[in-house]
Amino acid sequence: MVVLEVFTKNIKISYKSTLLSKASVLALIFGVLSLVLPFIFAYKSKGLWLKRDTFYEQPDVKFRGEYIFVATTNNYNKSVITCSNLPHFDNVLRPLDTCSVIKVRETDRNFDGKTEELDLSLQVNLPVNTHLTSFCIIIPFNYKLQVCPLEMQTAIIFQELLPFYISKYSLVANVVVTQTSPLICHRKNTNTLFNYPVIVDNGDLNNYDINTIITNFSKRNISTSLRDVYKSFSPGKTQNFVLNLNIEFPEDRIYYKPGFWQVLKWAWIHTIFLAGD
Amino acid sequence: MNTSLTFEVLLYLNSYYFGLFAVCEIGMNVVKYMNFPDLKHFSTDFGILMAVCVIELFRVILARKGNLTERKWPVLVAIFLTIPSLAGVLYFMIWQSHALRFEYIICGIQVGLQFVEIVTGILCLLPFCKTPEYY
Amino acid sequence: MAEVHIIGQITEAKDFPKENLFCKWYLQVGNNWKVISGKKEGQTQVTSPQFGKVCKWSYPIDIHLATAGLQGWPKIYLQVYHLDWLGRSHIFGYGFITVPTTPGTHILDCYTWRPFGTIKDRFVQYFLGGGYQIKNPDLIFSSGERYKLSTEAMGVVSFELCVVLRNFSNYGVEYDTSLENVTTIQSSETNVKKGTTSPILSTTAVPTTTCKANSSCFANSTNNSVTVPPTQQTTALVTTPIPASFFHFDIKTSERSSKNLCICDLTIDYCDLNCCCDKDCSLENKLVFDHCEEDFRQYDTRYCQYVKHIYVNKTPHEFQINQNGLFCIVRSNLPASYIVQRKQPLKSLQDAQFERQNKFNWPKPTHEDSQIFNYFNYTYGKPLLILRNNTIENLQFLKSFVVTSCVVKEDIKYLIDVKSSCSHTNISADNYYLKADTFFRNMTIIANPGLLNVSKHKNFLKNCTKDVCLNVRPKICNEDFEDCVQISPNDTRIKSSCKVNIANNELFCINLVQNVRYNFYHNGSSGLIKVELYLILKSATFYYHQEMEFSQTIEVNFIWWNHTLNYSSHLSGNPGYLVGKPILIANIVSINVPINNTNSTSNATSYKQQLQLYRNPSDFTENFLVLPFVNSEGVCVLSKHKYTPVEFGYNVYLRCEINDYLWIKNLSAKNVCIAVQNTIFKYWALKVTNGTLSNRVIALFGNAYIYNIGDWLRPMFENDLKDILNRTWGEFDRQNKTLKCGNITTLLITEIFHARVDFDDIINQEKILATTFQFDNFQNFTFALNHTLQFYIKLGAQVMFHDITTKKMRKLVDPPSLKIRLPHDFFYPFVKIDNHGVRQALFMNNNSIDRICKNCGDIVNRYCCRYQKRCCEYLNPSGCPTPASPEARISCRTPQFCRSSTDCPMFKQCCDTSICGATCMKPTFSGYRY
Repeated sequence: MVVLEVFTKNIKISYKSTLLSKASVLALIFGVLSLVLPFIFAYKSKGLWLKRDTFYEQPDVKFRGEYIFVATTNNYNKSVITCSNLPHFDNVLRPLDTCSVIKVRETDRNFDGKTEELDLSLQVNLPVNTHLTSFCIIIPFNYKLQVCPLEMQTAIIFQELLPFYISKYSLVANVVVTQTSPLICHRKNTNTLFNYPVIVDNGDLNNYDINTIITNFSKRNISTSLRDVYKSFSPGKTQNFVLNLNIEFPEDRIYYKPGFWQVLKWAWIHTIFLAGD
Repeated sequence: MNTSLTFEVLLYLNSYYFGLFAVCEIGMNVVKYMNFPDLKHFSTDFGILMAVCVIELFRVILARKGNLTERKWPVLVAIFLTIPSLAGVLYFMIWQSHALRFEYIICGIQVGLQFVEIVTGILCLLPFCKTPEYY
Repeated sequence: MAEVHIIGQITEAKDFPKENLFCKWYLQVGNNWKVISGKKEGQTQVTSPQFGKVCKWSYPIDIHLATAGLQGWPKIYLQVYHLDWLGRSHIFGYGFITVPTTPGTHILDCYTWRPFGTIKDRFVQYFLGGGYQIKNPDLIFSSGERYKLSTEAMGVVSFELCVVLRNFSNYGVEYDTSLENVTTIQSSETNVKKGTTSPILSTTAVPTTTCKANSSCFANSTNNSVTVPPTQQTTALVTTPIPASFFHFDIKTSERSSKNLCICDLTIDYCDLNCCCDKDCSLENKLVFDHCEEDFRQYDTRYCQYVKHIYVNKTPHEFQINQNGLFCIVRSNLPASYIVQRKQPLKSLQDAQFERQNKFNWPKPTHEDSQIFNYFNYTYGKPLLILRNNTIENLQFLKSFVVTSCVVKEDIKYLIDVKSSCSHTNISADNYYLKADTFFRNMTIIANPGLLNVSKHKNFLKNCTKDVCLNVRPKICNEDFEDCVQISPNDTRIKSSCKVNIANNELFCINLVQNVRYNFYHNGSSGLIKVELYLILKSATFYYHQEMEFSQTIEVNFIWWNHTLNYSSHLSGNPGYLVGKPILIANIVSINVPINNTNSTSNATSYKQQLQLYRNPSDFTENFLVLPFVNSEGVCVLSKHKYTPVEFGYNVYLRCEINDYLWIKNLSAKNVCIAVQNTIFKYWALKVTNGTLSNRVIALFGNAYIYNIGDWLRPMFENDLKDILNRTWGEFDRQNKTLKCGNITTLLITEIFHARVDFDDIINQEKILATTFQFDNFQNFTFALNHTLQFYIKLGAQVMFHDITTKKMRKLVDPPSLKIRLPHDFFYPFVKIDNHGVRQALFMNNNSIDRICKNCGDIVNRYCCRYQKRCCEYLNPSGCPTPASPEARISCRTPQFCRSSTDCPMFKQCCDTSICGATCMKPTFSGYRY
C-alpha cells in the first residue's frame, strides 16, 4: 500500500531552571523585550493605528447641462457678457446673454459607463470692435464615487484674463479632487454632505456673482479643481469668441479615514505579527 | 514484429500521455469556465471528461494486464472500452462548446494512440487465442 | 563422522531495484556430505516493505550435516525473484555464499547478479518483463567458462548463520576454539563486483600558474594594457614625419606618475596665477599669489598612511599623513591594481558612429526638393502644379497660423480638400491676393505632370495643349455661391480698385476677393479634367484710425469628374453612426405608381398611391437634421447654405433671434399668430405640411438606404404640431395697432436615444433607437402692427444625445429539438385519454396567422410574412395592400431588413422590432413549431 504522511507532531522540549538563576533572568529579559520592542518600533514608526488610507477610483461624472459664463469686454456699451442656461438666471440676465451655441460631448472611451472626457465648445457673439478682457466659466457637474460612496455637486471653475484680441481659446485640463480632510466612509450610507448646487439658482442676483460662487465653493471640504492645465489661443479680431474646453476625468487618488476593522487589521499586521511568536 | 511488445509500449506511452491529457483537459475546462461566460454545456463537458478519464484508466489497466498475462478477455474488454473513450475524445475535438487549438492537438494525438492501440490490440489477441503450450 | 550444524536465517534483501521479493535457496554439498536432518532447500515468502527498501524475510535455516571429508564444503546458492503486480515472477538475482568454516555466529552478505541481455532484450524486459534465466544452476558456482556470461549487479541478501562443528578434531582439523564466540563478518565476493568501480579521484596536480601573484607580474600586465599597440605606433611613424622620440616621450608622460603633473599650469613657459605647482613660477612670482589653486588629486584616506600634497608658503610639499583612526588600513595585501578605463583613441569613423548611438544629436535639416519637377502622375497629397509665366510652380494659398491674419503659404495638394480663411491686413488695390486676377490670369493648371514630356517638345511650356494645361474660367457669384456668372478675363466687373477719402479718413475699395472656390474635377490617376473657379467679390470701407482687416476664404474641392454634388449619397457611418457626423433624415412622400395589369388587355394603366421616402439630393437641410445657423449678430439664418448640422454625439444648446416679417392682409388674428408659429417651425427646419410632422423619418443607421423603409424611424412628438398651432391664440387691440399672440413655443428640445449594437463581428456601431421632439417655453408676445407684421423672437433649440446601451449578452440558439409523438391512444389501456380541445384551439390560432400572411401576398416564409405585415402596417396603417408594394417586399427580403439575420440562423427565430428591426426574438405565440 501507499504510505502517506498524514500527521506530524513536533517534539516539545522543556528546559527548566530555578527562579533565581541566570537562565531564568535571561529568559525573562528576552521575553519582555520580544513583547515590548515591536510596540516601540511600531510607535516610533508613525504610530500603531492607521489614521488615513487612500484608494484610487475613476469618478462617475455627469454633466448637469448647466453653465455660467461671465466675461468683461473693452466695449463700454456692453462691458459685461453673461451667459447661462440656468432657468432663473436666464430670466434675470437675458439681455446680457450673447452666447449663441454651446456644444457638449461626454465621451466614454472604454464603454465602462463612466465619462472620461468632456468636450465643451461655447460660441459667444461679440459686438463690432469688441474683445473680451477676461472671462470666467463655471460648469457644475455631478460627482459620484463608489468605493467610498459619495455624491456631490461640484464644478469646473476656470478664470482667465485676456490681454489682447483673442478669437479662440482652448483649454485642456484634468479634473482632480481636492480634499482638506479625509473622507469619512460608510459602506452603506452615501455621503451627500456636499450634494447641493454650486450655484443657487433662485433669481437672486447676488447668488450669480462669481465672487459668491467661488467663496462658497472654496468652503467645501471636498471639491474638484483643474490640474495639468494647458491653454492655447489664437489672436484675431472676429465677431465670435470661441471657447473650447477639453476636460479629462482621470482616475483619482482619494484619501479617507479607515474604518474600525481596517484599523484593526493593520494594527494586527504591524503589532501582533511583529510581536508574534 | 512482436505485437505484444508494441501493444505494451503503446499502452505505456498512453498511460503517461493520458495523465498529461487529463491534467491539461481539466485545466483547460477550468480556464474555459473562468474566461468564457457563454459556456452553456459546461456540466456536460465536464461530465464527459470525467467519464473519459475513468474509462481510459480502466482501459489502460485492463489492456496492460491482459497483455502481460496473455489473457484474451481483459484485452477484448479493453478494446471495447476504447470505443466510448474514443467517442469521448472525439467529443472534445468536435462537439464541445469551445474547442481550443491545444485541445485539438492533444485530442488528435490521443485519438491516434487509441486507434493504433485498437489495431495492435486485435493483432496481439491472435496469439493469445492459441492453446498454450508449455515446455 | 564430523558434523556441521548450520543454524540461522536469511534475514533480508536490500538494494534491489524493486520490492516484492522472494528467494529460493539450495544447499550445495559435496558427495561425501550427508544431510542428517533439516531441509536442503527452501523458498521464502514474498515481502513488500512499507518503510524503506529492505525486504525482511527472516527465513530460518537449520541443517545438520555429516561429512567424511572437507571437500565440497556446504554452499548456499540463491535465486531472488520479484513478483510483479500481475502475479508474475521475474528472476532478480543469483548468488551464492559458502557457509563459514569457523564455528560461531556469522553475518554474511551475498551479492547477487543477473544475466544481462542485449539492448533489445532489455527493452523487451522493461516493457513486458521476463529476461534471461540460467538453465543450469550449477553455473552459479561452477568455475567453468563464465566469461561468456555478462551480468549486472543486483541487490544484496544478508544471512545470519551459526555454524557448529563437531568431531572435526578427531579428523585432524583444528580450529581455534577461542573463535567460537566471535562474530565474524565475512562477505562473499562473487565474480561480479557491485556496480562499476567508483571512479577514484586522481589527485593530479593542477598546473601551477607560471606567473606568480606578485607585483612584478602585475606590473607587466599593466604595461601591456596601457601602452599603445605597437602596430599603431609603427603606422604613425610611417605616415607622419614626427620623430619616434615624440612618441617615446608621450608614452612616458602617460606612464609617468601623477607626481609631476600640474593641472593649473595652462600656459607654457609662463607663470600661471595662483598656480603654485607651476614650475615656471619663481619664488618671487609666488609672492603675488593670493592662494594656491586646488588640484584634483584623490587621496585614499582609508589608509593609515598616505601622501598628501600640501602647499606650504606656496610651494608644493608632500606630506605623509598618519591617521590614528581605529579603522584605517594599516596594511593591504591586495595585489597591485590598475584602473580599467577607456583611454584608447577610437580607430575609425565607424567606431565613432557606433559610440554616437543613443547620444544627443542635432537634427539634420532635410530639404524638400520641391523645385525638382518630376513627370509622375498626381497621387494623393502631391502638390498641384500650375504654369505661370512659363514656369512651373506649385499652386499655393494663404493661410493663417496662430493669429488670424494671412501669414503662411501652403501648397494645394492633390485630392486634399481645403477650406481655410485668413484676414489680410494690408488693404490696397495693389495687394496681390485681393485681386481677382491672381486666381486665374496668366495661369494654367497642369492636368497631370505625366502628360508633359520635356524631351519631346522643347517649347512645351509655350504651346501647351488645352488638355494638358487647363485654363481656368472664372465665375462671379453673389453670396453663398449662388447665381454664378461666367465672365471673360478682361471684364471690368472684376477690376478691383481703392479710393482714399481723406475727409472721412477712410479707404473705400471695390471688388476685393472675399471667397475663392476652386472645383477640380479629377479622374483619379489620370489627373484633372476640368477646373472651375468661383469668386465672390466684395466692396468694403476701411477706416484708417482702426486696424484694417479683410477676411478671405479659400476653398478647394476635388470632385470626381463624373460626379455632381449629391448630399443623398453622403453616409454618416457604415453601418453605425460615427461621432460628429450629421443625422440622416428623409421625408415620406406619396407618389402614384402604375400597376401593371398582366391579365387585362386594355392599355389603361391604373395608378396606385404609394408612400415612398424622398431626399432632395441638392439640399443639405432635406438630407440631414439641421438647426439654424447663428450669424455674428446672433440672428437665426436657415437656408440651403447656412445651417448648423446636428452632429451625432454632440449635445447642443443653441439660441438665436429671428427677425422676420409677415403680410397680414385679410388674416384673422389667430391665423397671423399661426403664421408666426409656422415661421418659427420653419427656422427649426420642421417643414409643416398639413400641420403634421409625421412625414419625416430619421435614419437608424449611418448607412440607411432610401428604398429600405426598415432603416428609418419616425420621430416621436410630445405634442403634435397641429395641437400647438391650434393652441395659439391671437387678438388685435382696438386700434389695430398691436397684435397679441399667445402660446407660441420658442424652444425645441430634440432628444436622440442611441445605443451601441454589434453586427456580427463589427462591434459598437451606434444606432439611433428613438428620436423625440418636444416643444417648450410657450410665451406670449405683443407685436406692433404695420401693414406688415415685423416680429422679433428669441428662439432656442436643444439637442441631447442619450446613450441607452445596456450590457450585451450572448444567448445561444436552442438546439434543434426532436419531438417524438406517440399516437394519443398509445397507452390507452393505462392512461385515460381526455378531450384535447385546448390543443385544437391552438391550431386554429396558427391557421389564422397563416391567413393573415397569405393576404400580404408574397410569402417568403411564415415569419417573414409577419414582418411583411408589419411593414405593410407601417406603410399604410389602415391595412395590408394586396399585393404588397414592391418596396415593402424588397424590404422584407433583403438582408438589410433583418440586420442581424445571421444572429438568427434558425428561421424560426427572426428579427423583430417595432419596425422590422434588429433584435432576435423567438416567436411569441406558443405551440408553433416546425
